[in-house]
Amino acid sequence: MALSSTEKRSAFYNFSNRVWQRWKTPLLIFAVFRLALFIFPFISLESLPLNYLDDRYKGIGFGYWEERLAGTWLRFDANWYLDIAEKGYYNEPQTAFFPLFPLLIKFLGIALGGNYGIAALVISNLSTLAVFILLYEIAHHEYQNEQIARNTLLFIATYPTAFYFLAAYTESLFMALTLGALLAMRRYRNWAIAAGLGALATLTRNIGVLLVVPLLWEWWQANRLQKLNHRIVAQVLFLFLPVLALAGHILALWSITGSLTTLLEAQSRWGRHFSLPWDTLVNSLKIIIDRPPHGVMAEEIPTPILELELFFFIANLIFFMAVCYYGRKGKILLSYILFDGLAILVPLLSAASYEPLMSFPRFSLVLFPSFFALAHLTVRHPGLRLCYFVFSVLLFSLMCACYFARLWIG
Amino acid sequence: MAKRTGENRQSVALSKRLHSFYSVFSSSKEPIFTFIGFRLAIGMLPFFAWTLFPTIAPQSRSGYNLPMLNFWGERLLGVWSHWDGEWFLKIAEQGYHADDDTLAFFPLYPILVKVVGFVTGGNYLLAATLVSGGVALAVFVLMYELVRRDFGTETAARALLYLAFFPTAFYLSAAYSEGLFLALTLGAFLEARHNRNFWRAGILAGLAALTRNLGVALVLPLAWEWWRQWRAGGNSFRSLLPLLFPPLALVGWLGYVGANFGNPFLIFQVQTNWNRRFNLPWNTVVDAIRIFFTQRGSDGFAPPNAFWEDPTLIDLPFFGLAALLLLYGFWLTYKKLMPFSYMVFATIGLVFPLFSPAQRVPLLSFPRFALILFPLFIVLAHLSGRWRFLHHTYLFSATMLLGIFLARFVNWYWIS
Repeated sequence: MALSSTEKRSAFYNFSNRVWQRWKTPLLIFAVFRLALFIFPFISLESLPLNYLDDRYKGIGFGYWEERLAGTWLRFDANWYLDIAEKGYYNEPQTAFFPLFPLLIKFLGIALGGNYGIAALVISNLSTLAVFILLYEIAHHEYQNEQIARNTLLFIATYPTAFYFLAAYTESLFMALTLGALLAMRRYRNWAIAAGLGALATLTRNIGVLLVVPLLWEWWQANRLQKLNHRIVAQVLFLFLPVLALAGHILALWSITGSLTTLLEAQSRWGRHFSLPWDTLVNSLKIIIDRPPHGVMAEEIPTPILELELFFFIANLIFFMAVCYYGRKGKILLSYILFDGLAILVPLLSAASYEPLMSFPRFSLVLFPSFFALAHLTVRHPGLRLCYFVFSVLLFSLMCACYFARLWIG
Repeated sequence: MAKRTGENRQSVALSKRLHSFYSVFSSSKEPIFTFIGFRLAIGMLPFFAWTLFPTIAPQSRSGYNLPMLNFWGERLLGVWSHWDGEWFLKIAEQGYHADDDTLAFFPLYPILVKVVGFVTGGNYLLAATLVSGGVALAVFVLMYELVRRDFGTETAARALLYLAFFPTAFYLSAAYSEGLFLALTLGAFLEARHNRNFWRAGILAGLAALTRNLGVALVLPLAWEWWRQWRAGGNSFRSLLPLLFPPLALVGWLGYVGANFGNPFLIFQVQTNWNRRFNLPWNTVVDAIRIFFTQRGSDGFAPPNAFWEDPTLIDLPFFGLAALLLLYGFWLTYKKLMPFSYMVFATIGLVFPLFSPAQRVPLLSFPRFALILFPLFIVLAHLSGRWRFLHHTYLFSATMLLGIFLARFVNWYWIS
């Protein structure tokens, strides 16, 4: 007799079937993304000379397989996070890194018997999966359109710096928390969870605190007709939880270093200083023009990637214009646009002296409204979309190969 | 009145011609736009690749003095003349000489560059880039047309994408003879199989025999096509005659070499100067597998010194994947889903390089040779038609590899 009803299936089958039916698209895209990036290190490490910037800290050996399966994802900043996870904050440059990611690494690392490298990669991979699923859910919630949701995911998965999601960096965790906060806010109208996740996002990256803006704005939109009472006031105050988290982090650093401005000092330790946005851009251009045509201009920059950073900035400016355009047409929420704009602005306010737009390609990965705009823009033009994908994946491949080879790309 | 009718007739003829031109264009819209996307992406990448990858000194070996170029010239044109490209430019400008290894290269591509070079006023680099660009467009249009006639537009569009973003596809627009050869081959198949015009097919195959050594082997698949059509009562013995063109073209080329340099077999003998020697195919494969596993090396901490020399790692996986696709293609042929003549061509193209392996690098340049095995892209399109997951996986992974291969090529690292 054929199985005629679902009762005859096991509970696990029903559950996994429901998950699959609902999240087929993000799961498949994640699978392709993950699979391709399993294989890629094997080829890219044969294609580019390794740069001998030493990985100061590494929980994993340097053998053939260790290097390709794990070591390639633990370059540059990853070492700082692992270091903090193992030994806590003990020197000044460390204080530029926010604590949640290393904290999670520490917990998981202890559970894994002290292998912090693997712990970090597990967290990054799970967060990446969460990013894909949550972004898909948000796009679905906003647009009720499978095609747009799928294309949004494809755009973020092929963004040239998307490989940072899988590396032991905070990008994926931060974005998962941010998207979780926004989904809680938009779909479930659950301000407590939204603010809580926003606070966690703040503890992951500095720009998490910007989530206060969309939270307050949305709350105002929903509650502006209500009369003021103590419950309302309490709610509003609760929405400031991300700010509170930032304050808590500053106080915690104060208890270690004895200075309330540690976060700012740490930035200057990394060569970043306050700068006006237009100064940042003008300086960036000036350095490119003044630089001798070939050669490396300063020891601080192993490869001249200033053009690349400027290119990413201009591209994201265009994306932002598209975001505003679709915002005017009522297709992208104002609170997303506010978050997007502020997240573009923050890196411009703290420029590094030799590389004013340092790390902008990576910072721009979390600007998810751009991907909504791109999905809308190309919904009727599959050819345009293909062109974008191809060019973007070509850059993806180059930047990823450079990252694996320890060449600085921001 | 009469005059008016004449005018009318003329304008009708003109509009008919325009219309037929437009219909050619509109039926080729897909490949043309794919080509534009391909060429733009490939053309923009050098600007980034140059910045991102550590540069090494040009590995120029032909003794040909490439023109000094500025920033834009180098990135827009110069990059396409790396490695073999400079040999073709050298031949186009200075002709063949017995003592400088140029005779390993077949003449049609340099002749075309020379001809276009007259138009560009002796700028052979520009000429080669133009020739290769036009040839790549022809490849895209013909590939789409051929697959469309056999399998319909959807498969054709996918097969075309798989060709366009194959990791070594940029050789189609570099100063290499792959693009020209592939265009002529596709044209020959299209004429023989779908237009049933063996004279044109024979001429195109003859030209292909003047482009690469593999061209002469086109006789076999074309003969099969002839036999298939003859059995169905479709064509005459006379149309078998043009199948002699490819061998005749080869003999002509040998005769030219013999007359000018004293020994017609010089074109085989110079292969030893390129480190290629005769070997049996299975020996080549076994060698490749052994080197693959023993040379893998513990480069995690100490990379091989000459990393830009031979990434032998990539040759064998390409060969393995191509062989798997070939086997699956024969399965499809058995199921009557794939023309046998295509598989004959793919088999010859796959096995041919195995007869002349390079020393220490048995499968040298295989990723590039695999580019011309167009039936394998059709097989892949077949597979992805059944299994959509493969479509995105292939496009994503192949484009990743294309990026890194092109970046290596642009920066004078050896790729294939």
